[in-house]
Amino acid sequence: MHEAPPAVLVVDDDVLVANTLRLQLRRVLPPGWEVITALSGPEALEHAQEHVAQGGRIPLALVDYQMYPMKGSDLLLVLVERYPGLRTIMLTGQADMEAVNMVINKVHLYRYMQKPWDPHDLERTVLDAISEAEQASGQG
Amino acid sequence: MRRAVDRIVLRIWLPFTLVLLVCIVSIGVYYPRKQGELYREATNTRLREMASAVALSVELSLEHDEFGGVQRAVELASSTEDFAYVALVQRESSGAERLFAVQPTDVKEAVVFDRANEGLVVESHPVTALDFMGYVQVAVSMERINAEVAAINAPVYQGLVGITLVSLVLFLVVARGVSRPVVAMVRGAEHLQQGDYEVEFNTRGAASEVADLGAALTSLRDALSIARDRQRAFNEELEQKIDARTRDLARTQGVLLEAQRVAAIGTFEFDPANGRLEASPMFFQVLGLSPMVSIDLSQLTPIFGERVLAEVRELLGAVALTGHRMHRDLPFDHPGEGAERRWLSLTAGPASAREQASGMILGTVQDITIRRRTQEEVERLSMVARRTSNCVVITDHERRMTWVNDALLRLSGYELHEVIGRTPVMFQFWGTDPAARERIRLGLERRGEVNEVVWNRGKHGNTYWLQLNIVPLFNEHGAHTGFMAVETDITERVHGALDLERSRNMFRVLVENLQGATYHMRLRKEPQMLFMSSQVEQILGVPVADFMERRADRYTCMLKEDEVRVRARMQELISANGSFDIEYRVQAAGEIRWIREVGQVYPEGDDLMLTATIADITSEYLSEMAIRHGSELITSLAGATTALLNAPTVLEGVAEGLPLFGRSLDVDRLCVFRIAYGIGDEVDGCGPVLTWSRDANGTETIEEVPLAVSPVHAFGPLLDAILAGRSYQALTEEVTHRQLAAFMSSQGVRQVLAVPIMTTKGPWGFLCLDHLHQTGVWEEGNRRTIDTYVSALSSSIEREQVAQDREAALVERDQRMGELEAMTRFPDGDPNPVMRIGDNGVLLYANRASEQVLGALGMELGARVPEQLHHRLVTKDENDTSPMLIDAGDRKFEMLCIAVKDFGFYNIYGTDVSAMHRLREMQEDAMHQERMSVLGRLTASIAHEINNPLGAVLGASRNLSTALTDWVFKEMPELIRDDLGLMVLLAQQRMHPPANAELRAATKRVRERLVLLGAGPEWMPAASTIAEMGWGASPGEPWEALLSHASGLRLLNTSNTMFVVRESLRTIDFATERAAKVVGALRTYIHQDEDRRSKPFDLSEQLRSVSTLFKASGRRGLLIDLDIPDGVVVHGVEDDLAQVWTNILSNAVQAIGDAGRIMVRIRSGKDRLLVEISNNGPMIPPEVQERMYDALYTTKKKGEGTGIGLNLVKRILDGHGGGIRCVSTEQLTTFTIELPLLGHDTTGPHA
Repeated sequence: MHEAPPAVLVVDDDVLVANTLRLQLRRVLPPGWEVITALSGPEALEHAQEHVAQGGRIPLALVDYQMYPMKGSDLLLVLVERYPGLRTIMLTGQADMEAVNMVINKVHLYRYMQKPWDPHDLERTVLDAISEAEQASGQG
Repeated sequence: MRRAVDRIVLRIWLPFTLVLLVCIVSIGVYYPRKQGELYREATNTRLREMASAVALSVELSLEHDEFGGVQRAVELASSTEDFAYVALVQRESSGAERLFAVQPTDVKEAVVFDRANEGLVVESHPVTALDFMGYVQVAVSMERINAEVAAINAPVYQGLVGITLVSLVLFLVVARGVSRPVVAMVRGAEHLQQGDYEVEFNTRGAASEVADLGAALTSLRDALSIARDRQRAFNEELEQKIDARTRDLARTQGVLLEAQRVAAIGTFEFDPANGRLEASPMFFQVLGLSPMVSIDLSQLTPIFGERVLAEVRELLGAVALTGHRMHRDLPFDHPGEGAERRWLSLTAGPASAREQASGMILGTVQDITIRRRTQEEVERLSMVARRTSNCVVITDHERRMTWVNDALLRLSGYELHEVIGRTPVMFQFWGTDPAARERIRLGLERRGEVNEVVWNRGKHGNTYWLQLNIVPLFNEHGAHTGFMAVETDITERVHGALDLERSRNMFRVLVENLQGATYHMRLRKEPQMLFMSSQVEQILGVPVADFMERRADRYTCMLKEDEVRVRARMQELISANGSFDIEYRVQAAGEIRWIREVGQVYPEGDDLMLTATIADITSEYLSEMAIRHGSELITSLAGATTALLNAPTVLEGVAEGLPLFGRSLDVDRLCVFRIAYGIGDEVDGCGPVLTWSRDANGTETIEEVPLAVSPVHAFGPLLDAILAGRSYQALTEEVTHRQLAAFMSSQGVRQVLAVPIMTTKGPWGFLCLDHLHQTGVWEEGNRRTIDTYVSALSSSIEREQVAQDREAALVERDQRMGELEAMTRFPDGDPNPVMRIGDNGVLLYANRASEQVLGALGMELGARVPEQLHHRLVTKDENDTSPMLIDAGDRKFEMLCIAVKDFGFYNIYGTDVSAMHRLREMQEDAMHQERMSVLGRLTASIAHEINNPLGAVLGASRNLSTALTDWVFKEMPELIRDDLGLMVLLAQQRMHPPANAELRAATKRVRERLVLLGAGPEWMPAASTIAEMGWGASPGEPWEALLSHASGLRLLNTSNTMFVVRESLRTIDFATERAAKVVGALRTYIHQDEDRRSKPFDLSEQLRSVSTLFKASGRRGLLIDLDIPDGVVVHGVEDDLAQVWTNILSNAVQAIGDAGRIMVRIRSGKDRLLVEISNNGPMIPPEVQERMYDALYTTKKKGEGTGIGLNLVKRILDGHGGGIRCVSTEQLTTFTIELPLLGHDTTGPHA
């Protein structure tokens, strides 16, 4: 069997947002890349683990901030710890700058994006992050 | 002695007692008889008087024709005393008598008339009134009189019997009391005599017993002395007697010898025939005549006298007649030697047988005057000898008794004939000393004088002692003729001597049994210890021998300071005899012992003797000292405590009592320390307030000092102990606490004892007892005394504190009263209206500031207030403190009514709220801002909600445009011709994208199907696209047709684009709808067209709407449970109440944080509606609860909260006649909002 493809992890508790992001990213990602969507932190961790277990890798995670029960910042902390070299982008609908600052400091957030996001900006940011991550891990 | 005492008892007491008894008996016989007579006499008199009195009253009654009165008089008389009866007898003219009235009524006529009244004493008195004749008879029974007499006499008898008993008892007591000690003494002496030395002397123990023994010894010594004196006197008397007797006898002997020398016998021859005498010259010499040859007998007449001469003639005649020899002593007067009568012994006899015939008579004459005189003298002496109490015995030369006097017979019990001719040896008792017997024998053989004491025995076995004085007797020729013994009965003396000896023995036994030592010494002439009992060694530690041999005296071990005193006392005693009782100390065996010496100095001859007892009273002394010290302590304690009680202040009492206390405790200094308390009852330190001290000279000073506080650390363990309520005791050298040790040293204290003075408020201070010079152990007794005093001191202090507190309380009360009084004037100066309305609605009081209000409301002082207003005041809920708003012209007042029901009036306090109203307008603005602020917060959360769908919309529209421009319009034209139908089919499989897990599983299955169907590797990524589009891996699914299609992948991708378009359009739909919903809610909240009128509206709907807003705006995890029935309508300002729910929910959402739930429910009360909004967030601290309704109070960070929220809520609810309360616990915080069920006529700020 061929190994699992590289994937971008998208986490948002709003199913509309998650689906939209999946559709959008699938169009811009290089062929063979997958988008793994999850509606909560625990679900995201589960999918990520499963994917990595199948030999896949996750160079980038796109996480909403305002989630329940696990806040986006907390999820990011776990992900960064588990998957070193993971690039992270946080989406937030609220101007809670303090929380965002905390996350940026702790998680080395690649990018923070306000909702509603500019689709072009999102596409470019995601592609930049992927290429940077692939270069860092020597995957070309 | 016992006999003597018994004699006294018998001679004095017995007669006295007998006389007394006789007196008693006589009184006992005479008195009752006399008493009986007197009583009977008195009874008769009484009866007479009574009879006359009754008669008088009867007469009076009869004169007034009152027969009832007669009856009453009789009744009355009868009832006055216990009469046998009282009768009124009527004598009729015929002389017959009848009983007119009688009491008691059952007395028979026979008793009154028939003299059947024996045993009654009857007295009559005539009654004469008008036509009534008769008499009154009063009777008393003899029996009763006798009983009364007996009753009167009973105590007399008792008394007499008592006196008899008492005198008998007294007699016995006196007899016994006098004789008992003597009897005991005698019995003791008897015991001693019988060799019974086991006499018990209870001499153990106390000094008093020693003293008793001393006294006993003294009396014993007195007895000895008396016995000695008696013996001496007796001896002297006896010696004198013997001397006199001896002298008398010697003189007699001398006279006899002289007579012998001068004896001359004249001879004569008488011729009866011529009566002439032929005589020898000696004849004439004897007769004192000149010698002649012969002389006529008649010539001798001048010499003899006629009578004697006749006698001579008679004698001569008789001789001549009878021829017998005859002798006669004749008196004659010697012519030459004065008128002295002389005696002549004339002997005559016939001349010779041969001459008998001639009748011549021969005779001799001899002057026997001297002999005659001697004989007379001897007779006289023998009379003396016979009559003397001394025994006189005369023996012949062979010692056979020839004469004994009566005294000897009396003493020996023999008759005269039994002793004459026997030797005096018969009298001797075997008990006589054999040596003495031998000496007598030798003396008698030598014919010398003998002086001995012999023990003789009488005929009847009685023995007696004699002082024997034997004198040999010689006749005129010097021949030994016998002995004369003068014997003195010295039995008594000997017994005295024996008594003396026995007493000495007893004395010795006594002395040896004494605990103390006894000595006897000569004082003046060559002081010499005569006797010293062996116990002295135990007491003084000096052997007896040392005293006896003058190696030691009593001063040897005496302490020097006592010696001076004792010597002085001894000197005093030598100059003035007397008894003494002296105490001194000695040093024996290395310890000080207390000695008591009791004795007496008395003269003996010309010397002074000292007899005394030395006793060791160390233990008694020490215990006595202890007791004395104890009693001293108690006395001082009592004094000190009394001083405490009596002194006006405690310190004065202490100042008075401390010296007493200090002296008895023998301390050098006493200090009362006081503990100073600072703020919060912290101990600041302590210092002395009163000091008493005594220096080495005994000079005392007492000083009250102002409290100078030394810090706590200066006292260290001492103060620690005191504060803990314990005593502190230490020697300075043992104190390890540096500062305390330094302090004590600086004060010169060597030992300290500090006792806490505790009051119920805690330690007040302590009493400090300092030893400056010596150290010692505080005895328990002393400690108890100190503790007792300190506890008394403590209670005094407490009493004083209580008194001070009470005084302070009184002062405070006065102040309060003053303040209260001042406060009553308060309302006058109050710029706000203050009024008082009575229960009856009359205005009782209004201050100056009330004028405007009074005017506006039409009220007047003293008049009833308007009915409507009064109604509002009186019916108002007691707990309702909300004010009423009164519009008084240009000004507004809020009137608060407080019911003072106890006093039956209402106090009304007005506040000028005109300014407040202006302020409220300003507050309205602030409230608006607050609303905006809440809105702002809400907006922030809503922004998220709106931005999410907007993001989705943007993303979706981007997808759409991309799909449309890049894919649909580019690919479609080429592909559409081929397999449009298939693409549309594929794109329309699902309405919604599958869930992620589903998607992944589907992708996997599709991938496997692709492999199964032999698709190339380029198809592999297409698996997820197929799955995403909702297709599965069931065989024969439409997408399988793509594999055989030349441009299958392109077809699939285009179909997927169509799917994206479809999905994106759907997302836009959803997202827009959601955004619109949020905006709608916002519109509801903000409500641009505010309707501020109060009107009924659906509260249920409002609560649901606001909750939705929060649910929509909040996080996914926010749970708001609603328990709200449909269609609950309230009356109020809809927007304002929306503010209430928004504020409270907003706070709740913030409180619960990430994990929590909020509950909203509506409950209906009686006339109220309750909205409960609970959350399980943290508890609101009580201090926050208190202030959270205050304006401008916030717990939030600066800039986040305005502090208006809950204040606004409260004011809105007040305006609706409702209220809010909060119950917050760790588990649940519930805000309960009350609203009137049927609305409320709001006069609130929005009115």
